[in-house]
Formats: sequence, C-alpha cells, structure tokens
Amino acid sequence: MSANDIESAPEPLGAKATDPDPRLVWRNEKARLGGYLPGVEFDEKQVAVLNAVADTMIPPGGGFPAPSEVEIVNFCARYVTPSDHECKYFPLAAEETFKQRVNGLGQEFVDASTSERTATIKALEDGDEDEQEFFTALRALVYYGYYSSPVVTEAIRQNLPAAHDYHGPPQPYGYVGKVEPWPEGAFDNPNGGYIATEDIVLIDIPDDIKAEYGVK
Amino acid sequence: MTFHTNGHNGSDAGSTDVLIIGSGMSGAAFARRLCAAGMKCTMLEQGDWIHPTMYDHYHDEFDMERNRGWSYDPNVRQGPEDYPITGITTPYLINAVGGSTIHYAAHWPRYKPIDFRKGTEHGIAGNIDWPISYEELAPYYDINDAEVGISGVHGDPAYPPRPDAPRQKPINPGKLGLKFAKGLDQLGWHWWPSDNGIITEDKDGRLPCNECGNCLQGCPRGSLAGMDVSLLPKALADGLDLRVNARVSRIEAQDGKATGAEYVDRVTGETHFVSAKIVVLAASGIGTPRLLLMSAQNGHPDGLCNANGLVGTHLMHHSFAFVDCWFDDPVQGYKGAFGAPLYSHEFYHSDPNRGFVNGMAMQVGRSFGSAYTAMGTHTANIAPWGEGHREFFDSHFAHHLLVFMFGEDLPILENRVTLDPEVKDSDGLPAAHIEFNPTENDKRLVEFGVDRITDVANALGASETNHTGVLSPPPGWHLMGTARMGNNPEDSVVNKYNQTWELPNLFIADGAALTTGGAVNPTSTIGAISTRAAEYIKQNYQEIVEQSKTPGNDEAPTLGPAQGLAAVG
Repeated sequence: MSANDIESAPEPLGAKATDPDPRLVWRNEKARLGGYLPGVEFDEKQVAVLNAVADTMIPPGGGFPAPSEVEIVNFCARYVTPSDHECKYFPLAAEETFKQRVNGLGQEFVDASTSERTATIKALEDGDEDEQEFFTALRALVYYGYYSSPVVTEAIRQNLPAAHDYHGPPQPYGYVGKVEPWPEGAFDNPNGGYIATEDIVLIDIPDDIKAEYGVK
Repeated sequence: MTFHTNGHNGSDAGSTDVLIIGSGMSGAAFARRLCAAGMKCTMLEQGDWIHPTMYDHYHDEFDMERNRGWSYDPNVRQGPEDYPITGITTPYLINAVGGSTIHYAAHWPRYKPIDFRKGTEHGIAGNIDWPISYEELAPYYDINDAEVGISGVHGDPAYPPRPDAPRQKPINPGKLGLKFAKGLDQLGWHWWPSDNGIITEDKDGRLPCNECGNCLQGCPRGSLAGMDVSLLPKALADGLDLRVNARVSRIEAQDGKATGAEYVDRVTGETHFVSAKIVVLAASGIGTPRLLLMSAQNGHPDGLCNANGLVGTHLMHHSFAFVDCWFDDPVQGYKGAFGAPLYSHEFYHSDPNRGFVNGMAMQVGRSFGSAYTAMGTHTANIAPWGEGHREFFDSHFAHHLLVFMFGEDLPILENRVTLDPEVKDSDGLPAAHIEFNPTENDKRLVEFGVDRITDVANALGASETNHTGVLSPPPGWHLMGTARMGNNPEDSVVNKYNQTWELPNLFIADGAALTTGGAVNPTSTIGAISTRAAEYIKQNYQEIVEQSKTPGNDEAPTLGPAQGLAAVG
C-alpha cells in the first residue's frame, strides 16, 4: 500500500482545459435556467394572440391580475425553443410550429368574445394530436409563466390567507421561523413495533401468490 | 456478440490502491474511509461538479425547471454526461460529483431486521436472506450517519434502538406534518418523525436547512447531504484523486482479478487506463450492471461477474402510488424541508390475510410552488382553465398534503437491466435498457396502501383526495438489486463483504448490491454497507489483494470492531 501522493493527482476540480473547451458547448446545449436568452421574438399580432389565450385560460379577478398584465409573452418567448436550437426540452414548443399555430388563431381570436375564445381553445384541447400538442404547450406556458410572476406571487400573499407568507423562489429566504415545530410531548406515546431478528419465522403465504411466483 | 480481448486501449493514467467508479453515496463512503486510512484512492466520475449557482432555487421559474435541466430523469435532462436509458422505465438519477445525492429527498430511514430475512419470512420469487443481519450492519449505519450528518429523533418503537447514531434536531413538520400525525393518532397507528440527511444545525461549513422546501432540486446551501458537500471534501483533503468528466467504458480483468478501468476523458476525448489493486464499482443500480455488461471480454463473455446470469436481474424500485389530499384549512406544503417530516410503518410487516406479502410505508411529502399546484400537483389534478381556474387554484394551493404510498416490491428475474446496442451515449457506449413490470403482489400492496392513506385523509376530514393508482413503471428513484449480495455464487453477485464472486478484488456496495429493498429509502443502507465494505478493505487490504478466489461467506477474513473516523482520521 502506498501513501497518498497528492502532488501526482490530476486536477480534482476538473480536467485540463482544451481548445476549444467542449464544456462551453455543453453548457450552451443544456436547458438554460430561466429559458432561452435572447428568447423568441413574437410580432405584434402574435403577442396579441398569446395574451388573449392566456387571459382566457386564467381570467383576472379575485385580486389577481390578468396574465397579459404580468408579461406572460415574455415567459413564452424564453421557453419556446428558438429555431436555431434542437427542440428537446419541456414544453417541447418549437418556434416555427408554435408561431404557425399562433398565427392560425390570428386576429379573429383576439377580437372574439370570451365564450368564442373558450370554444376555440376547447376545440384545440379536444382536437387531433397536433392540436392537443399545441394546447398542452400553451397551457404549460401560461400556467408556469403566470405563477412564476412576482406580481402573481404578491397577489397570492395578499388574497389567500393560507399562503400569506409564500414568496415564490425557495431561496435565498427559505421559511425559517415559519414552519411549525413538533410540540412538547409529541413523541411521548408512540404506537408501533418491529420484529426482532430472532423472532422472524415463515408466514402463511397467499396460495395464488405462491403459485405465480414460487418460493425459494 | 463481439467483445474486447483482454487488454485495454487507453494510455497509462497511473496506478492506485483502490479505484472507485462513481461518486455517489457508495463511492463517497469508500473514499472517505480509505483515504482517511492513508490509502491511495482514485475516483472516476462521468459528470462534473454542480456549482451552487447552477441550482434553480433562486429563480422565479423553479417549478418549470423541474421539467427541464433539473428533471430527475436523465432522458429528460439529456446532458452530455448522462447516458440514455431505454425501455419500460422512468429512471431517476444524476451524473455529477455526488451522484444522485445531488438532488434527493434525503429521507434517511434504515432497514429493519425483517428486511434482511425475507427468505426466511416467505422466500417468494427472488427473495433470499441477506448473508448479514441488521445487528451486523447497525454499527456501520451509526458511523455513516455520524459522518454524513443526520437530523431526527431517537426512540421510534418501530426500530431497534440506535443510541450511538448522533442526531441533530428534527426538521420541522409544519401544519402539514402535524396534521397527518394527528390523523394517524386518531386511528391509533404508528408514526414517527423521520431521520433525514438534512442538517438543522451547522456542520463542517455546511449551512443548516432554511426550510425552503425544494430539496428534490438539490440544495445550494449544502444542508442536504449531497456527497459533494459532506463526505467527498474530506476525502479530497485526505488525498482523493478525483477525476471528473471521466466516463468508464469498461473494467478490465486478467487471471481472475480486476486490473483497473478504461475511461474516456470527456473533455479531451482521450482514453486512459488506471491500474488498481482493488476496484470499487459504485455507479448505481443501473450504471453498475450496465458497466459490468459492457465489460464483456475473454473469460467473461456475458459480462463481468455474470457467469450465473444474475447481473442486471432482480431490479427493484419500490412500489409507488402518490396520494394528494386537500383540506379546507391551511396546510402550507410549499414550505418546510421536503425530506419526509414523518412516516408511518403501521403496515410495514407482512400480513398474509391481506392477500399479499411484504408491507408499505406512508411517507409524507411537501407540495412545491404555486405553478406546481396549477399543473396538477403530484397526481395530474390540473387546474381547469377558464372560468373555474381561480376558484380551483385558491382552494388547492396551500391546502395540499402529499403522502407517498411506498411499498416493498418483489425481486424477480424479469425486472432487469440489459444493454441497448441500438442507442448510444455521447461517447458511443450502449445505453442501459430496462424492463420493469410490477408484480401482482406489488399491485395488491399498492392498492391496500392507497386505501389506508385515504383512511387517514378521511379521518382528518379531507375535502378531496386523488391518487395515481399503481405507478407502472414506478418512479425509479431507487435502483436496487441488480448485483445483489447473497449467500453463494449461485444466488448472488457479491459475498457478504461485497466482493464479487468472480473477481475477489472487485467490490460492489451501491444500490445494486441490496438483496432486498425493504419499504424504505435505500441511501442510508447503501452508506452502511459501503462503510462496512470499506472497513473490510482497510483491515484486510493485503489479504484481499492476494486472494485468487473470492472467499465464501464463512471463509472470509474477519472484520474487527468498526471504528468511527474520529479514531482513524
């Protein structure tokens, strides 16, 4: 046995750099925290459609803002996969296809009444495979985007007594002092037990289980 | 099948006393102990370090990121360090320094005495007795617990006493934990606050938990017992030669001994070979059998240690269902350490009158953030869009309580890991392939468990419950049994000290080595058997190196009293 020889050990914090360093490429290819930056660019009509879809899915009220008021399109822009990237991350919405679908809803959708918009979205939800895929991506973008908004988090705090101290991102604050401890005496009268090693014996095995899987 | 002849292709990358493949719970426990003993250890990890800024905890979009780069599933993350896993499976693992301890609940229960004696109890399907007992392993649980840092409370009547295992104060239950405990009390059923690998007091420069609730995405504070912040820094200080981005392509064997491992440096693309007197394979219940099967070579045509055909078989995940419960009063599951605030082992033991063998745990979890509620919580109960959205969200968020139905699944030959030659990782190595189907026994157990959890919810006056039913395949958080410890070369892959039966100097003590799964999270047991095997190496190094044949369980060198690292480090 030889002693440790720290000086001969390769760099423990990472392999040596190469040129080009593939780690830069890997980091670029991974799902970026916060979505793509810069994100997808939507034109004015597409922005209007996305806002209309979002406001139909999550109507404002009860102290909560409309999605269009909390920059929902900005979230969509970051999480739709730009056309120069492989579309392989949730919510699996590729720029080109997504925009085609949004364009398909068009100004007609924006100008429609709430009940007409609802019927259109419902048709997507119940539609063919492509339509359902579009609906699923839209709903994910709207729900995750809306509830990621600090404005909505504040609305939750203000309007839902059960969640009066919810603050969105888990860190840096955590919830120190806001999670109830076990009360004094909580463990004084426990139930339960275990089988000691020396007390373990063969049990009656259900016949059909024994027949199906056998016994060693 | 074509396979390499013996002899590696890589350039000489040094020699070492102990080569450790994988840096998760098992690899870290070996490294910690053996480096502290002055042994020269090299560790190969195909992933890289996770920097605290890489976690999603500071981002508004943290709920979204759980589906992307912080998914538990490597097939979703699709990182270059990940290898594909095909077949009937939802595999959960991460390839990084610290392995899958990077993001996990860190719920830290032990096996019970019964879990080591399933052969005696019923012997159904592939169940055999472990060659060791709870009592033999208990001192190593204590040692590993002390080194990792565990919070919890002594005195659970459902376990043998463990006075020598230090415990920091338990994580706080919150309204959620207090409520479920009350329901269990109403029914007169067992519960106890969980042991968790989550520190609640300062330890070794790690910050205590600040109860943010996002443990399953890892912990930038180091409160969660990731091996990257707990055991490995100490091993590095003691001289561990850790090579990251080092993807092992095969283990080499010659004349009945492992001689080292060939690996690809993923940064340079160069192939190297590290010679070793002892090799420890600690790549998880999927990665370990994959590597053994990939290492087919002369004398080992079906893979290393696979003459009996058992490598990859008897895969266990635990049987799962998720039960979401909602209440009219506040529950506030968005806050508090996830871990498990408490568990119930009321139905842990077999009762043949139920129509199945084995038992289950109720393990209480938390709820994540607001977007997670909108997207259906744990059981796809997605908030309606449109007119009903506001009412649904407002009555569900912060009113939710999750309970995992967590059962012991049967180890069967058919649930297994093989290679998928059609799918490759980024270095051209074959993907792992999994076939996993719950047994009828597993299904009955899950259905029973869901009903019992629902009993508690009803006793508490839940306004609504929803469950997944039997998850098939189950979530693959726990990867067990695919190179199991046993009693002889016919029923297992490793002996009672985790030496493979075929190569006495090749050790496996990760999840693959678990003979049975119990109905508890496996990490503490992986740590205990790895600590024990490392102690065996430390005490018997020369004899092991000189062994030409793996000793039978009755012939192996003796293992002296266990020592905590205060004594050796």
